[in-house]
Amino acid sequence: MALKHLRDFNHKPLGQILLATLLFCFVFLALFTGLYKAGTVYIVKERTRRAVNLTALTGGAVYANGLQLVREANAAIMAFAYYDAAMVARAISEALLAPPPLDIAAVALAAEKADPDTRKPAQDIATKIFGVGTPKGVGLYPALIEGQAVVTAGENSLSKLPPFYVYNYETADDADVAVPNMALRFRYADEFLPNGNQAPYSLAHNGVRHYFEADQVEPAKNPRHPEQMRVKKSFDSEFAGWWVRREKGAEEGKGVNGLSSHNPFSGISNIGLLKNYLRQFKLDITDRDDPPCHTFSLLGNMKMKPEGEDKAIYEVGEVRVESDGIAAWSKNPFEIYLTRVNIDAFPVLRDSLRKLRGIPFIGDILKSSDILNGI
Amino acid sequence: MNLILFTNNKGQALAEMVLSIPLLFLLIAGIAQFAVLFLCYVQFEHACGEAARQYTARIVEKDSLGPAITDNLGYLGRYFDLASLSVKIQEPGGTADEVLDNVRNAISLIPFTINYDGAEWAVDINARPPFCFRPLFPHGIPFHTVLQVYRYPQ
Repeated sequence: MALKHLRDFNHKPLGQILLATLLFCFVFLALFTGLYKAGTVYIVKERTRRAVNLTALTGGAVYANGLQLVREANAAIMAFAYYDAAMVARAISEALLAPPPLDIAAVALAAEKADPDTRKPAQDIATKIFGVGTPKGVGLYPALIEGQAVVTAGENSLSKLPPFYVYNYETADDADVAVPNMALRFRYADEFLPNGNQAPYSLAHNGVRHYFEADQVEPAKNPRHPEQMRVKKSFDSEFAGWWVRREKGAEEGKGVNGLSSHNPFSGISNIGLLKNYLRQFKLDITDRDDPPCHTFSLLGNMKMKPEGEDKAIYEVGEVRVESDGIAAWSKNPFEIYLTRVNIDAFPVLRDSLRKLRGIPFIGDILKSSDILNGI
Repeated sequence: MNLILFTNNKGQALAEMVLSIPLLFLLIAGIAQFAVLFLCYVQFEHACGEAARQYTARIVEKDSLGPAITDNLGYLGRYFDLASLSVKIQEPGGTADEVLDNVRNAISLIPFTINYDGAEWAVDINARPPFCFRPLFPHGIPFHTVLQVYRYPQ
């Protein structure tokens, strides 16, 4: 009955006008609401992006300050090391001046015994402060990086829990990425001797150098370093995607014929023994990787309530800290700059993505689409 | 004659059209200007972020963020009352920030240890609403944001 009245009313001009007005209002209300929601989300997204970038830059600034402190610590360690070397040299000279025949083992033993190792206390203190060799322990300074980043994230309105902070993820092992660290390790005396390998490209990780042929590398596509090469992403290696450095004497596209002529130690047949012996002399702090990798990244989020329920907008930010090194004699200032996050470099994703790329259909989609940064 | 004009049904559609078209245009303009308002807010947030980035790159200094924000507003600057821009350096906001500030100050007592510095800024500006929203906000729409960043070297 009521429906019949309504139908009759709608057949009259007044009813039709009312119906049209209602429809009109509904359409515009929907438009305004949609615009309001989209606009609000867009504002929160922009704020999140800004907050994440500023937090990453802050982390990078503290990180760079830490690396400068490492340089200063290295100056102290190397001063002790020079004293130790002088003591060892004196002991060796006494052994060498002994009447013939020359006893190499006795010389080595004399050097070992004469090493006062005055650098050890400085190395121990540096380990505690900078967390050298993390993940064995978190250093005080990496904790400061994390603390400063957490506070800055809070001040920039990012949610306290998470953001997730990630350290040097490109060259870190699995879960170690989450442990505050500055990708540091101690250098040993044997590392000053060159290796006999003839490949044109190499990288070092945890003190072990790995070599790559010219057909195993590709341009790193880094706008700041157009010449930089990396291990091919498609190469079946745990180092796929890692940056490499060109060996001295290597010619572009030609391999390294004649590299050995640049190696003054190439004539020593048992260089391995010498290297093993020198391995016991721990020296200054150096980068965990060569080329060095010092990155600080975070996954931050900002909460919003578009329809009364909590929603989070996530953004990723990353900074890279670069210089000419962290040795005591390095002088160049540190550069801190924002980079585009290379999401497939995360250790946990690396293996699975390599497998996915192997499947022709999915591999093509990954290459041609924008998902995962268009890897 | 006049009576015939007002009692004839033939002009009804035209009269409805004349009445409804301005309303329709007003609504469309309202939607467009509503979008412009959001765009202004996003641009304001973006400009603040860019200015802070310029601070970290040592292009601007801690106390001269204002002109950098104005520059970064770009062509949308005309929707803002630039004279109302206020950039205030804030003291540490929370307890954690204060504690960390004290830690940093304590470490910096050792020379050459702490060489990074930064600030927290509170930025306020009034947006000039487009004409549809001007009666609603005669004094402009206040935008506010807070941002913090540190840079190295100090």
